[in-house]
This record gives sequence, C-alpha cells and structure tokens, in this order.
Amino acid sequence: MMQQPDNSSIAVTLRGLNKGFGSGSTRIEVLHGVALEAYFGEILMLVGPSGCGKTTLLTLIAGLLEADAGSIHVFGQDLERMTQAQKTAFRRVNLGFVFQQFNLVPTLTAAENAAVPLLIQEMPRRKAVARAAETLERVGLAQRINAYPRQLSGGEQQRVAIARALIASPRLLICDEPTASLDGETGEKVMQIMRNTGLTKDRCLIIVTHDNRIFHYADRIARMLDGRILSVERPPETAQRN
Amino acid sequence: MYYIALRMLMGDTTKYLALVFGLTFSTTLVVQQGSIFTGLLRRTAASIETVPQADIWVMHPATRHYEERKPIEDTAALRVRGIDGVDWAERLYVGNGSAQLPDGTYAALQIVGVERRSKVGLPMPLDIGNSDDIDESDAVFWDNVGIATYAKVKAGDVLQINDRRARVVGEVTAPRTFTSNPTVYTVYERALEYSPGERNRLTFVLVHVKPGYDVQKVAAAIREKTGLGAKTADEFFWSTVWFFIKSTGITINFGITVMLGLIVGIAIAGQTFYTFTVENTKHFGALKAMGASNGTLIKMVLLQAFLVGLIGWGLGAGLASLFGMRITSRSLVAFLLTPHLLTLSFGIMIITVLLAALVSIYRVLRIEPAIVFR
Repeated sequence: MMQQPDNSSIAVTLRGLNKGFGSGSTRIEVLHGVALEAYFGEILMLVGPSGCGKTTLLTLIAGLLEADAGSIHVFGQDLERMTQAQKTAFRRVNLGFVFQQFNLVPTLTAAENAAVPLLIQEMPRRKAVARAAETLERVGLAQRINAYPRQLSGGEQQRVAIARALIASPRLLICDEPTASLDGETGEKVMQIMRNTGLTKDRCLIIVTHDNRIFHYADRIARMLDGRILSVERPPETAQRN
Repeated sequence: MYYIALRMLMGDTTKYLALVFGLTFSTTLVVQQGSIFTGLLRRTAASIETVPQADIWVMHPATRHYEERKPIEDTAALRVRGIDGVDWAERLYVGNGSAQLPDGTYAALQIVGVERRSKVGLPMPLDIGNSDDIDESDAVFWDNVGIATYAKVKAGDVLQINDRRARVVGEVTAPRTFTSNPTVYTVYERALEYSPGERNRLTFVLVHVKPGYDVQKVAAAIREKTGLGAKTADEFFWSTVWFFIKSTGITINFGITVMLGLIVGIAIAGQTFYTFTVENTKHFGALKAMGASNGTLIKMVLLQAFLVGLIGWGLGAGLASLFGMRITSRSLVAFLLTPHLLTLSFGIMIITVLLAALVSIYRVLRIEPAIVFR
C-alpha cells in the first residue's frame, strides 16, 4: 500500500515537539524534541513501554492538547496556529478515532453509534444511520446493526468503533491501543479490518500499541523511550508484503 | 445530536425517572400550594364578586378591606342617592354572630342584611325557596356551604341567631369566605335586630351607576360630596386581596412552601443531572474529540434539561389539577388554579432546570477531550 515517500504523501509532520505536565518541582517532561513523519497509505505504529509518551504524542497529533514547543502539521496545516474552535472543526472533518475502551454510547444501537460523526456534521439522522449500516456491513456487522453495545462482544464493539471512525471518510485515523481489550484472535480480526477496510492510499493510520502480536500490520514502527523516538523501522513482514 | 442527547437521557431509565420525579414533585408542590394560596386570597374578597350589580361600594373612609367593616350612618344611602350619576344606592349590612342549631350546638356565622325591595346582595338564583319568602316573619336563607358543614340544618328549621328566632326558608349558594363560616341572608332591618347594637349600623351602600357615567368619576364625586369612602367594585376587590397579601402571614407561609418545592426541585434535579453528566463524561469527551463543539454540547445538555423539565412540569401541573378537582368538589379547601399560576410555575420550572443544567454545562465545558485516551 505504501508509496515511496515524497512531500505530497506526507500526512503528518512533527518537528521538535516538547510537552510536559505540571509545574515547579512536580513538572514532568514527557516529550523531548520529537520529530516524525507519517504518510498517506501507511499504518504507523507508535510503540514503547508505559509512560514513554506515545499516547501524549497521539493526543498532540489529534489536536487535543497543545505542545509546549515545536510544530505539528497535519495535511500541511499547522495545528499550533489554530484556535480551539478551528481544531474542533478540523477534527470533525479530517480525523477518526478508535479508542482502547471503545467509548460507545450504551444507549445507542450499533448503527447509531457508528453514525455519531455524521450526526456531529449535522447530517439528517435517517441518512446517517443508513450510511452507518453500510459501513457496519463493511466491517462484518451487517446482522448486528440494531444491537446495543451490551449485546456485543468486545471484538464486535471495537468493530463498531472502527465503523464509527471510518464513516465520515477521515484522512487520518488515530487509534489508541485498539486491541488491548481484546483476545489475540479477535485482535487479529480487528487489525485485518483496519488494514483491509480502513487503510486507503489517501488515508494514514497512526496506532499506539503495546501489543507486539499486531506489529506485523504496521508499515513502519516508531519505537519510543523516555519521550524520544529511538528508531523508525519497517518490520520484516511489511517488507515481504510490499 | 439532539437525538443522541435524548437517547443518552432516556436510556438511563433510573436517572431519567428520578429527574422527572423530582421536577414533578416540585411542580406539584408549587402549583398545588399556589392554587390554595390564590383560592384563599380570592375568598377574602369573594363576597364583593357576588354582587355584580354594584359598580361602587361606599363605606366608612377608614375601611380598607371587606373584612374590616366600620359602620356608617343609616342615612348615608340617602346622601349617596343624591349624587349625579348614581342610578340606585342600596344598603347592605354585614356582621358576625352565632347561631344555636336545632340540635343545640352553636355555629359562628356571617349575617348579611339586604334591602327588602331590591334584595341586592342576595346571591341569585336561589337553590331552594323563593326570594319573596325573605319577607316572612323571622325568615333567613342559609347558605349551602353551611348546609354542607352543618348538615343538620335544612329549610323549615328554626334557629336562634344571637338569641333571636330565625326560620330557614331556603338555601342559597353563597361565596365561600376566608373563614368558611356559613352565611345567613335576611332583610336589612332583621339583620340589625340579630346584631349587637351600635350607634351606626350600616356597613356598605351598594351603588349602581347610570349608563353613560364614568364609574371612577362617580366614586370620586361620592367621596368628595359625602366624606365617605367609595371604591369601584374592582378597586375594593383588589384592596381586600392586597391587604391580605401584605398584612398577613399568608404570603410568607405559602411562600415558604413554594420555596421548599423550588429547593427540592433544584436539589433533586441538579444532583441527579450532575451525576448523569459525570457518568457520561467519557462520552462527552469522545464527542468533543470527534469534533462536537462546546455549543453543540451545551445545546444537548439544555435539551435534556428542558425535556425533563417540561415532562415534570406537565405531570406536576396535571397532578395538582387533579388534586384540585377532587378536593374542591368534596371539601372546603380553597383551590384556584389560574393561567397566571400555570405560567408562573412554568417559569419556576425553567429556572429550576436552568440552574440544574448550569452545573452540568460547567462540567461539560471543562471536560478535556484528551481524557478519551486515559
């Protein structure tokens, strides 16, 4: 899937990113001069031990936190120059999210949950739910569109979350430990869906994970330690796939 | 998004019902107590309303309201009749007494004496009897509230009113008064016989104004030329009502109950709504992360708040109305539910849910969307 990188294929550019929390003696520096690029058509995994700063980095890329220093360009736009309202509007159109705990609204059906991004974009409910049903079909949940989250298995809930992340056709998918709450087999299925359905040549997936069972789905893996990028490498399986 | 807001709200059945219950309880308390308050206030001046023929009430200049009656000279009616614009002016006696009932028990009562000829002041139509029967010896009409309270009294019974003989010749529907004592109606002269003597005995002169004359101007002319007090029926009604509002504890007593309803409503709704918001923090955070603006989330919370408010208000007002319908048909409890009171209770409900929602809105606005990654 991944093309030879050039400027037009860059989805995300990070330069000299610093981020810390707290103040005075309790301040903790989490990120130190992080520089990284993510490309359209690739799955980039951020891996590393707990507390190394990978989720903080993901949060900065999503525009949910502000960096203390450095720059974040997503699709060529400088997030640090945007107001909160502009960032919100930017996320609404360009970003999709998959969370570790799925974050489905328990009182909405699978189709309604998947339709949420379209409803946020003020699409009429019937149209949005119809689109959601189609998207759920793509992730193998055609028979479960009217089920509530409590009636779904963990893997099914994560597939609803993936449908929700994909439904508004975002160009960047932000995934936080998408397989952490799932068993190995279900995690594999979820990653296959992400790879086969979620990844397109004009979309970039950035996945934070601890789960080394899914590393082979990555096009590139950025290894982090103590708030720094140690290495960016292509796993052997990816090289074979390409 | 409004659909999501409604599903989030109603999906949590327990909290939804708790919210509706809190607001229903609050509204019931406010409307029910408010209706009893307005009902009681109306009773303070109900006797004025039951003489619709009277445009002007003439009284002692020191008299401020209906229950505060300072007698005037018997000749006052004659002097009033001489004022330009007065069509007719009739005497009315209103006093208090006690009656020994046929079974030997006693009842405090209000005695009303009307002009023998015109009978202005006698509630019409009569329930039982003929208005001319009032001319008979010792004849009185007993009001049906009194009948309901003292069922042992009926037409044909002989009573002792202030130790003088009285014979019940019929029944009338008299206005329910503030004290709810029964009222007896008789002719003016006999009413004076029933009542303890004073130098002046006349309570009111009831005036009807000639067509084409301004009632206010005629009342002013009466005041100017007789030195008596003269108020239009409307002015007298409201001066009586306002006296009770300002000068008695009734407003404070009912106000405390209404305030209690308000506080209970805000406390239950606010606390439940806040818990609801706290439990949905992650979902609100996810919505923010996915691009829902603060404005959208505020509208969602307000919609949830106003919906439960509207349902709670509707149920509460309905329950209070039901209470009123049941209670007014079976007892002496004053209950007057007016459109003004419904509007006021709706306003109170809006304030209640707004205060309850504000805490939740504050919470929602402070949610960091980044919490979805924690």
